[in-house]
Amino acid sequence: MIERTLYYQAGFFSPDAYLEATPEIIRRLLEAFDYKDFIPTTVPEIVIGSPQQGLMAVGPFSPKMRINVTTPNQEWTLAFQPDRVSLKKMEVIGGAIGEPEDFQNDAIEMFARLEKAKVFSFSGSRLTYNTRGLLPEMKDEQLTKVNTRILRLPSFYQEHPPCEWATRNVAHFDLKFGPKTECCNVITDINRVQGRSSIDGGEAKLVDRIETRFEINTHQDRQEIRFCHNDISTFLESAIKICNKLSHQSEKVLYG
Amino acid sequence: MDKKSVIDVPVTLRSDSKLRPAAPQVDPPTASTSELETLSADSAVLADACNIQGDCRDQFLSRFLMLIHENDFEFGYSNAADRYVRESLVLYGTFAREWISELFVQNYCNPFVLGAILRVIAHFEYAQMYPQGMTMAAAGVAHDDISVKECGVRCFENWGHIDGRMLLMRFEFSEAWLNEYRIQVINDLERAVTNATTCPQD
Repeated sequence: MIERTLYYQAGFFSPDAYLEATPEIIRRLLEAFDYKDFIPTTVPEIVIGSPQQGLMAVGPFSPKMRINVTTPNQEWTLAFQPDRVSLKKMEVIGGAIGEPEDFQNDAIEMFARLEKAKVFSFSGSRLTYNTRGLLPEMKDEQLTKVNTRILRLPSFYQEHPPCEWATRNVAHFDLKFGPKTECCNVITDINRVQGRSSIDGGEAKLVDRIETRFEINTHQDRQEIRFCHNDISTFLESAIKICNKLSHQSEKVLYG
Repeated sequence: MDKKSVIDVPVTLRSDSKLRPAAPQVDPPTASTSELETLSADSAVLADACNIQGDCRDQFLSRFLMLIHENDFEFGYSNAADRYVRESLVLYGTFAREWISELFVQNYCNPFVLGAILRVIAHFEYAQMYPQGMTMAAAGVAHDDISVKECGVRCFENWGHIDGRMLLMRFEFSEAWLNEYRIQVINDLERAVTNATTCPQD
C-alpha cells in the first residue's frame, strides 16, 4: 500500500537527554558511532528570555548548541532534544529506507551503542515510534472517492470536493511489550497532501497524494521515570506490529 | 522503487533551528510526539532572528563557497575567505558559525571544500569558533580522506586548546606520518597546559 516511506522515527523521553556540544560528549559519541559514517553536528536552539553576552549573543536571544549525530546524507539522525533522544531514518536519494523491521533492528543497535556511551542516564518517561509514508499516485476522481469513503462532509464540500483534507484518529490502547503493559496513544493520520518532490535529484514536480502517518507513544499523563534502554527493543517490536496492522486495515478502508 | 527525495514541507527556520521558551519544556497538548512545537514569530525581534536565518544564510553560503573556489588556502596565510568569515561573525554571530557547519556537512564528500573550511576556521581563536569549529575539526579528523584528517589535526594544533588533546587521543591513523603528527600535537597541547599551570601568574 505505502509506495514511499518518508521516514521512521523512534524516541526515548528522558529529562537529561538534552546534550550540548562539548568535547567530552563529542568524543564519547564518536567512539560509540564509529560506523555508518556518523558525524557530529550542532543545532542552534534559541532560548527566549535569557539574554547572553559575547559571541553567542543574538539580540535578546541566547542560542544553545545542542548536538546531533548524523550521516552526511542526513539519512540517519540521532537528535538530543530538550526532553528526548530521537532517532530518525529518512528516505534519501540513492538510499534504501527498508522495512519497519529493518529500522527496528538498526534502532536497537544504535540505542545500545548510545547506552554504552553513557552520555545521559537513559532513564525515561515515555517511548514513541512513528512513521510517515505516501500512497501511490491516484487520479483526482480516485482521491475524491477516498475522501467520500472516509469523511462525511457538509453539502458545500460534497458539491465542491476538497483538494486538501486531513483526518486524525487517536485511540488509547494497552500495549504489552516485554513484561510491561502501558496505555498508549495510537494515532493514524490520513491526509491528502500537496507539495514538491524531485526524483533522482531532478527537477521538483508537484505531487498530490495521500499520506499516512502512524504513531504509537506511551500516554502523556504518565511522566514518572520507569523506562530503561532495554524497553526500547520490546516497545518497538510491539509498536511496529500494531502500525503494520493499522496500515493493512487502512488500506482496506481507503481502497474499499 | 524509484529513488526519490523527501517532499518539501514548510519549516519555521532553516538548519533545523528551533525556537523554544526558556520555561521548562512541557509536552505538546496533543497526543502526538512526532514534532517539537515551534513558536510563531510574535515580536519584531524574533522575526528579525528568523530573517537572519532566511535572507542572509543563502547569501553567506553562496559567497563563502565562491571564495573557497576562488582562493588559495594555506595555513598561516589569510585570504578573502578568512576576511569574509571574520566580517560575517561580527554581523551574524553564532548564525555564521552554524552556516559554516552546514556547508561542512553538505560537502562532506568533497575533501577540497572541507579542507578549505578547516583551513579558514583554524585561523580563528578556539573560542571564536566554539562549539561548531571544534565539532567540525573532530568530524574532519574522523573523515576517510587523509588531507581532511590532516586539516582537522592542524586545527587543533593552531587553536592550542586542551580540548583538542582529548579529541585527538581517541583517533589512531593507519598512515604512520599522520599518526606521528597527531601524537606530536597531543604532546604539544599537554606541554602547553602544563606550562600554563606551572608558570607564576603576573
